[in-house]
Amino acid sequence: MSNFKCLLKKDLTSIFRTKKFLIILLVLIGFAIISPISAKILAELIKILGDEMGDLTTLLGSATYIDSYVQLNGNLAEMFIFILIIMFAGSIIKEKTKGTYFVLKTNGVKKQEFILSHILSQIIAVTVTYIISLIFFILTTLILFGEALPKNFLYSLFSLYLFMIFFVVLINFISGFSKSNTQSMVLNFSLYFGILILNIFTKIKYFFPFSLTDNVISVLNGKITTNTNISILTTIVWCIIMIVLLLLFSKDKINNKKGY
Amino acid sequence: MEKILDIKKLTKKYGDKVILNEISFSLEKGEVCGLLGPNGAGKTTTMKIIVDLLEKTSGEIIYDKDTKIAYLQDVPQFYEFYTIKEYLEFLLSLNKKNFDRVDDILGLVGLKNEKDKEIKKLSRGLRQRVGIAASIINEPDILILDEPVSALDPIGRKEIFDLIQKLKGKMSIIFSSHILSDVERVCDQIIIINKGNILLNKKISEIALNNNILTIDFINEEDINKFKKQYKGDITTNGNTIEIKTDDINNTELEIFNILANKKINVNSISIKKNNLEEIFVSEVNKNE
Repeated sequence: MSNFKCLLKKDLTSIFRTKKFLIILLVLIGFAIISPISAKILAELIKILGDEMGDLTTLLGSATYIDSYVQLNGNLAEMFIFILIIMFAGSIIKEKTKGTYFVLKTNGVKKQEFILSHILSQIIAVTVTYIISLIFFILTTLILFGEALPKNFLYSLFSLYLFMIFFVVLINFISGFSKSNTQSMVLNFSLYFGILILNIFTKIKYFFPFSLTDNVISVLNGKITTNTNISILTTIVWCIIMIVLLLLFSKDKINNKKGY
Repeated sequence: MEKILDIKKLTKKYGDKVILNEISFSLEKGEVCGLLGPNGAGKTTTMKIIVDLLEKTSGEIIYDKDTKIAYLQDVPQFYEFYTIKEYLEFLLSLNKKNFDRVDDILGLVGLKNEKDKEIKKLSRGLRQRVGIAASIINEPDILILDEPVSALDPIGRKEIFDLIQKLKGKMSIIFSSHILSDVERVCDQIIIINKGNILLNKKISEIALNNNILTIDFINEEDINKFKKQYKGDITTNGNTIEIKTDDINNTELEIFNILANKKINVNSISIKKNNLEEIFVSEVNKNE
């Protein structure tokens, strides 16, 4: 077995045995079920308010199964990313500061293998849990709204998936360049809000991944534009750039007075 | 003997602060070297630089490119979610080796009955043994142990030093410790380091038995004179007491007892002050303070 396969197996075992997989799965399933329910409740709320205050549905529109997708986007783009940061912000830096990385190094593991196995194992965990949670999401939406698969739903779900993968890569990127777990955590949250702010600027927002979650309604209504495709493309490019920089420039040694 | 590791003028600085000041020493194949020094002396820094965990400021670390070096830090860290056996198998798989050695190594470090326990549930002593097992599983040429017994009880310490004794000859070992009596027992070479400088670097055979002092308290001066006529070595007299310095305590003792018995000289007391490693260590460090 190559070193990379050994490391990948080790990292996946870690994600499973330290219950991270279970936590991610439960959180995603939770959001998958809550999102259609909250969309439905919102619809009911609008209806009740409409009965008392006049016809609000003409103003706000009636809730549809597309609102499930909107809710899911909102929940995963915010709360779930926070959970990913808490789970994985220390993944690379903790191994360096604790010293387990150097056990690997003295056993012939290359920095690149070490980094890639961390990223890939987390991507696998997020992918598997996301797919499982989507089954719950589609079923719940179907039960509540009678419909669950709007036009371009795969495109929409893929955009959301790509958004999460971007953050998995970003979290590891920061972890790989940090000097401590706390620093990694702080930088990750700071960058999350930094990237969120960039989304305000309409001229450049499509070059940053938050735009992926912006266009859910129009995409699900069939409007895939050049800008939405640019968002996908630039997010992939960002991921590649971060991985390459991490592989090339992250340091093996932390030159502080404590050493390791 | 063949040198396996050669350190030349190794220096480490943090800004203006000098942690290691051009230290030089070498390690011979199959030998055990004790790196001794008070806290902050530069022991861990030296070890980490050797295993390339820390950047050096200047100097050379010379070893053959095929030399495998394993390092165990003072508080060993593991993938806690593994069992002992799984962890050792993981380390073997990184070196593309089959798992035949696992049972042998577990036997060597006395962990055969614990092999299926999760590492996170182990006591400090057992973790230390897992650390040593993990360090030697891939048969390193040089094993570097940073304070391997610092947090262990006397029984745990003895077990680890017995283990080092077993490994002696199979690989070269550098370890740091504060338990000097144990160091004396297992080491071939002693390096005392303080404030980044090497104060002493000698073979244990050159230092541990040197300069023992034998003190005899005689009953009267007449007996001292009788004794002096028979004993040919150097003697320092102080009243009714004499002091004899010797490198070879066993033969000197035998000679003295023969003289006292043959000449029927009675004495008040005989005491031997062995110049042990602890005294050498304290003396060298004090000189440097």
